[in-house]
Amino acid sequence: MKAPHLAPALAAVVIAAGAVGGGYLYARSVEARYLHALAPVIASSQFPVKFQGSAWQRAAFREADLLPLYGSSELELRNPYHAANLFKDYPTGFTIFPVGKMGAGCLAILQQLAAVGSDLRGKKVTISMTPPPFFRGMMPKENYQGNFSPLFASALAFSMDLDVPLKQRIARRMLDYPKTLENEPLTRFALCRLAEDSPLARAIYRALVPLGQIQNLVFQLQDHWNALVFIHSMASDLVHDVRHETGTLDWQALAGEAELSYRDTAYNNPFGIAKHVWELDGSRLGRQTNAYPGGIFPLVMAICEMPQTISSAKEWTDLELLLQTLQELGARPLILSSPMKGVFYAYWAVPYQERRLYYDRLEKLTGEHHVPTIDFADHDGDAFFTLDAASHMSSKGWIYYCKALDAFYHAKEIDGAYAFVADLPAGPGPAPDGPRKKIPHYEGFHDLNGPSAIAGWAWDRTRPDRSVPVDIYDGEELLATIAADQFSEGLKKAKIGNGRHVFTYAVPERLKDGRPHMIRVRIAGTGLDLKRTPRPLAVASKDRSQGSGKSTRHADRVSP
Amino acid sequence: MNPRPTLEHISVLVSAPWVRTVAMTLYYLAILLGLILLYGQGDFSAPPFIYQGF
Repeated sequence: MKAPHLAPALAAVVIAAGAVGGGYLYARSVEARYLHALAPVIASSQFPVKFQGSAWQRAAFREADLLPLYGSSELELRNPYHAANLFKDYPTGFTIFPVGKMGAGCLAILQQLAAVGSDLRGKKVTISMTPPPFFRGMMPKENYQGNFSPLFASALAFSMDLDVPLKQRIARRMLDYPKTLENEPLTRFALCRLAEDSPLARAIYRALVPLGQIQNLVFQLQDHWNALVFIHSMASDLVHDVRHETGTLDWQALAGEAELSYRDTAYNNPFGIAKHVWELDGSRLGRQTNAYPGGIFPLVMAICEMPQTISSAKEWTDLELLLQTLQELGARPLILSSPMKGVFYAYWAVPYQERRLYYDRLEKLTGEHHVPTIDFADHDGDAFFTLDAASHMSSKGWIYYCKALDAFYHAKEIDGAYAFVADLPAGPGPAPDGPRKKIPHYEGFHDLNGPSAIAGWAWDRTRPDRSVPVDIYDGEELLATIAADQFSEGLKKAKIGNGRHVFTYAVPERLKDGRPHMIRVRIAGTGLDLKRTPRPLAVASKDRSQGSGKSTRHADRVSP
Repeated sequence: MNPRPTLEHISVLVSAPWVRTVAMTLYYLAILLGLILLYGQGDFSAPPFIYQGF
């Protein structure tokens, strides 16, 4: 007798689908039960499913008393005045649902929101940003990878809520980070077809969409499964009841209290940088003598190069894509940006005229998309609004943020976002430009070390046509200070200024004693070593053929 | 008291069409549930990285 396969297989599929559907409903009910208790969690390591999946985020948008706040590292740093703490007990009827991981940029945030999809329509959402990513050429790939989720990427690639032209532009940016898509063949293939924009590619993409929707469905079910597993693993520590303590918040008193409290922790430096940050990085943040490749702090380097990089940073493209995504999803956003730490930027000779490029462009771009924005530019010169040079908010900064969040949550109509913080004291305006000149940015190599000469090249990238002096040491003894001013065709071809940056120093007779000497070359007066220095020198007395100790030409033997 | 089932009883039972149908349904169901258990938990975690300041 032929075995009846079709009917049992269909029955099994129906039963399994029913079980999955039942599981899905059960998962949603469990998520809803614990959502408010878990809403204020700010550490991604404690609650990874909130940051890497969309189940919790979509659930948050369905709750009227939660205000989602997306951002980056500023949301993960603990602070007693963090919105997650201030609104923990729903004092004015709501609390925030922070979603921010270290290094998240606009491209990561827009994927998270695309995964929320239609649940965002008509809902308020707040987005926090900081200025530094807007003057880096491109977000470091590690930062993007650290915030990547296959679920978000697939949701965006096969989103039915976004127009194809927008998805095409986003796809091109996502493909700038190909490593993240290595294990996502369907998503990668769809993004490549989107980015191609030919009739054939568009047809293939459309044919892929149903398959992509199935992938999205599977990812969503897996996301709910992960949520259930997380809840069960934490069950003994979780309570699902949250306290509601309605009250009024005296914002002016809170702002004063928060500033005083912060000042007590930021007394060991002139920039209002938090004591613990200064103790960790102060020597690198404040000393110009470290302004040397390899020694300079990346953040300081980025700040010093800001005038050259701010106009071309990819983060502006990503912000524009984020704004358009919000528009197409029908969200009601508010953007909050912390100000730059103007006193610190001024110290590093970045004048307000250059700093305001950020504030102006942010205002213009968000204005074009009709997105209310507060950039707190009036606090540029307020040393105590941010706790570090990367513009993470201090206690005082958080109170201003919280006031804006509270007013935004309760606002029926938004008529100028600055009205949200009008009750609080205005900032002092821009920090005055510092007296310091542009810091030098030295580069150089100690190429040749005997037997007849010590040679190499050095230049100041900020003054490409000027020569710089170098000190030559034998151990701790200064042998000579000479100018790196000889011409090299190789340097000129390598676009090292005008090519007149070579130094050559004939090895003095007294060093040709057959004993080892440690030769070190530094930029004169700075203590900054060239690359490949110090180097050992040992010249036998028989090599005493030349070497007067004077500077001599050796330009042909150095390489850029 | 029921008599103990014999091999003959079992073979008669197995040859009944409704028993075969139920057995096949359970067989397919087991496969599907196995697949769900195996692939139900997606991995959406991001690789750990060193935060570079911003």
